[in-house]
Amino acid sequence: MEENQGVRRLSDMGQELLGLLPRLRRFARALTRHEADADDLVQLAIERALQHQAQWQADTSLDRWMYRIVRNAWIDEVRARRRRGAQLDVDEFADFVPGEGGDALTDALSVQAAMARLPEEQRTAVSLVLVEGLSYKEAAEVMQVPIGTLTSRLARGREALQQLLGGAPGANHASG
Amino acid sequence: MRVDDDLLMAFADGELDAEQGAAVERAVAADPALAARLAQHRKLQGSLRAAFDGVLSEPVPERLLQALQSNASSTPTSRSPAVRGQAARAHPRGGLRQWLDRQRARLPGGWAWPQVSAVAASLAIGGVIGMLAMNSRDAGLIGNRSGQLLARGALTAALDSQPSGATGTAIQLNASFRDKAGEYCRTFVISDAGSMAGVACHRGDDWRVDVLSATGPAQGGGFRQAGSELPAAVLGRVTEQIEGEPLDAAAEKLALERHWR
Repeated sequence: MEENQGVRRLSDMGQELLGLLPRLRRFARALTRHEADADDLVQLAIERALQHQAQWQADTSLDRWMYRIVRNAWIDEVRARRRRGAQLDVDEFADFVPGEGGDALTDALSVQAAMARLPEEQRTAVSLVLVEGLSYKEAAEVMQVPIGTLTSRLARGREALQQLLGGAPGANHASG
Repeated sequence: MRVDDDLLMAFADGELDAEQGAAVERAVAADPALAARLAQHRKLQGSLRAAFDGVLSEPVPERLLQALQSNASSTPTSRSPAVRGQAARAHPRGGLRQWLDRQRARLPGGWAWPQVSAVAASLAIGGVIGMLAMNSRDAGLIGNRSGQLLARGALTAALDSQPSGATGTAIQLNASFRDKAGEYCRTFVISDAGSMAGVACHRGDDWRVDVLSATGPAQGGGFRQAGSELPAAVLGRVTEQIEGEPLDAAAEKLALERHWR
């Protein structure tokens, strides 16, 4: 057949991406808050990955490479929305009252609403480390920042979330 | 030892080495305020996971699978656009979607559209295959010959003689096709014995099981019909290996009568 090496490698990547889809969707959901936006983002990331797979270096794990593509695509989207002057709808649920030991759904909505109120960079750091379970080093690599920058974003994001969710963080140490 | 927030956070995130970790643990044990802050960190992490982990068990939307397909469709095969169902899209190579649509269309009683289980998709084939095979080996459905999994017993019988789409059996066959090596392959779903699905290809007298994957767990609620879903790992394999279109009912009957040779 006309099948050549390129096609084989392509479908290998497709195969690997298939296994990553659930995690990429979760990451995108944590970034964007909205299901449709999140899946748009993942779709865009898949297309970019397949288009530019020659740029993927085997010494980077595919999942981290993909996280980076998703994240960059989201930054592009946020910028585009700002340029269009569109109101970012992150405040849509801003009045949502955190559940007080309510049901799991209420709690989840509260957490998602709180996440949506974080600055992008803090939300990304929180998503990568606390939701996706990446190490600091890996998360810093995805965000292309030094580890110190990552940990300070993570610390600020955490603190903000704890305040938003009503659990007073008791921050006796005003750490930077 | 003084434990500041940064250090405590690093501890909560599993970033400390054993020695540092032990030191923080001792400090936490001796200081209730510190212990309370650590509990806050862990609680937040738990809430975050609880809020977003649900995505993992949702079915992956069709359009994302299509996006993965886009590379397969760039394979320049010159296939005649013979049977294009009304569901046919502008896909140069009648993608997986179309043939599954047709599969469904020709089955009486409505074989449910295979829900791609996100959880199954996240299972690496290699990693779980041993475990799954263990399960089904107990049930005598899968054997192992020098590392190659082979269908056994009732699975062999079903692969040999059961038409695709027949329902009401513990083993269901979804589709038959020829792979790129020219062998006949069939996708199957085993409802009991741990609920799994796979692709088996006929070689010699054996059905080689090339992919075996857990089907979606029932935890997402009971809305998925057992036995009617193909995990993404299986769909992926089919997409990769299929040569042309899946067999239609007549072609399948013929292949069956010729013992899949």
